[in-house]
Amino acid sequence: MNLSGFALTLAAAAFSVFLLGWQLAHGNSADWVSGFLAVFWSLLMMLRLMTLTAAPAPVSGNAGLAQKIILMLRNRDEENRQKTLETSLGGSFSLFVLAAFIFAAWQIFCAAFPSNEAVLTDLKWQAAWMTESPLWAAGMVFDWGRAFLFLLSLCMMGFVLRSHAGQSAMVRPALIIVAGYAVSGLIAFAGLDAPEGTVIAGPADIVGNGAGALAYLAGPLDEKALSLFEVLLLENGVGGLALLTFLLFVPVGCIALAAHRPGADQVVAACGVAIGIVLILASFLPLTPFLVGFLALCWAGLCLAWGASEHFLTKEQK
Amino acid sequence: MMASAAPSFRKTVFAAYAVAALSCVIGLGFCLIKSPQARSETYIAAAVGLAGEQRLGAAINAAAESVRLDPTNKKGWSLLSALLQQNGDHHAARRASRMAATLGGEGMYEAPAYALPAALKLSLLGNAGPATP
Repeated sequence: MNLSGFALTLAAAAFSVFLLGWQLAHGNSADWVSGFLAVFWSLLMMLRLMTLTAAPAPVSGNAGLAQKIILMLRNRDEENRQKTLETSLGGSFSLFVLAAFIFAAWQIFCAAFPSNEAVLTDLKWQAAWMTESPLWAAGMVFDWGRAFLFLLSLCMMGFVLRSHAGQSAMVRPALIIVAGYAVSGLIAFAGLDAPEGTVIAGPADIVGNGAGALAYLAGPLDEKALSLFEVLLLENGVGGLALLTFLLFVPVGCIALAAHRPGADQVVAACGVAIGIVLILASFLPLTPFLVGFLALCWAGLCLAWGASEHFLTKEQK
Repeated sequence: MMASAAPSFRKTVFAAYAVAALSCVIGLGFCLIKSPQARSETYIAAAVGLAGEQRLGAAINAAAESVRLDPTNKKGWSLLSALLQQNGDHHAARRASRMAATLGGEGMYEAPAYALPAALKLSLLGNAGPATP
């Protein structure tokens, strides 16, 4: 049961990686994918919550030895389920979710109060131009909505993967494989030229709220392929980048914290830190649809390592 | 449903259910509603089809609707320019062409669309001729 749940979750993560790459390669015609991913992961999250919180089946009588053994096993399972639920939803995950919501709020702030006066003037003009339609800003709202849904999907994916990370016998081999893919993928992507037409940057990007964004605006943007770092800088400014760094710091910090404790699984820690470093380095490579899929794969691996470390820390405390 | 969760943890579990349900509903909405960018592409396809049928006025309307939905669509501006040129409105066609040129290469960074002078777009639509909405 545990193995099948773990395998299905990994398959769902791999499916998401494929869908993300596919969506970005197909552009606007595949704009339903972000919504689909949110529905997909919310259903998986609800299913996982149901399995972790379902009422245990009653055991009739407790006189015989068999009933006593069944009752004991059931109580142990119940305790494990409770611990898994508390570890998966609580601890550093709550901090992560809080930071993710602050980041979303920051994005809205950046959009509402752009730092560039010229952009602001043009947006006002655009409002005047589109007066006959209330949908004048629909494109931007749609983009922000998709970004928010993507963030929510990542959080839900994180919860589901973390909840399965308690089983170290399964997490270890999975993490070794993902870390191998991550490191070799980084080498492959670093050696690739940035193909034209794959830069992911929308009109809302210049509404960045930060000094860095203005510096980039002055540069020849139309002659280079942007990296994820540059897109984030344009979209969210320095403040947004700081928040995102904190978002990455939460899982990597938890893994590093667990690695220092005696008895910690050093393979899990090494794989987790390696995947974290790959995520950071990959954000400086030209952003392509395949790179986005690759980043999602790294995120799935990081969540597994994060969950395993958090489970270890919780076990150690008790 | 939350029978086995500890009483102190029930609120957190409830919040998790609420977030999941909310994102499910919003996600469903995003699955069903087409983005303005995608609709803009559809209008371009329609404009090309109408131009092929020699219905120039309707084709210009479709191309104008395309750039209205997505002002950063370079293809839309290029098409509008070509159609206006065909319609004999050289002044507006030149302006639409300049808009397309300012947007840069295919797939390149799209931001400069918003940095275009306001008057340019306004006058483009205002002077596009009788066939333009």
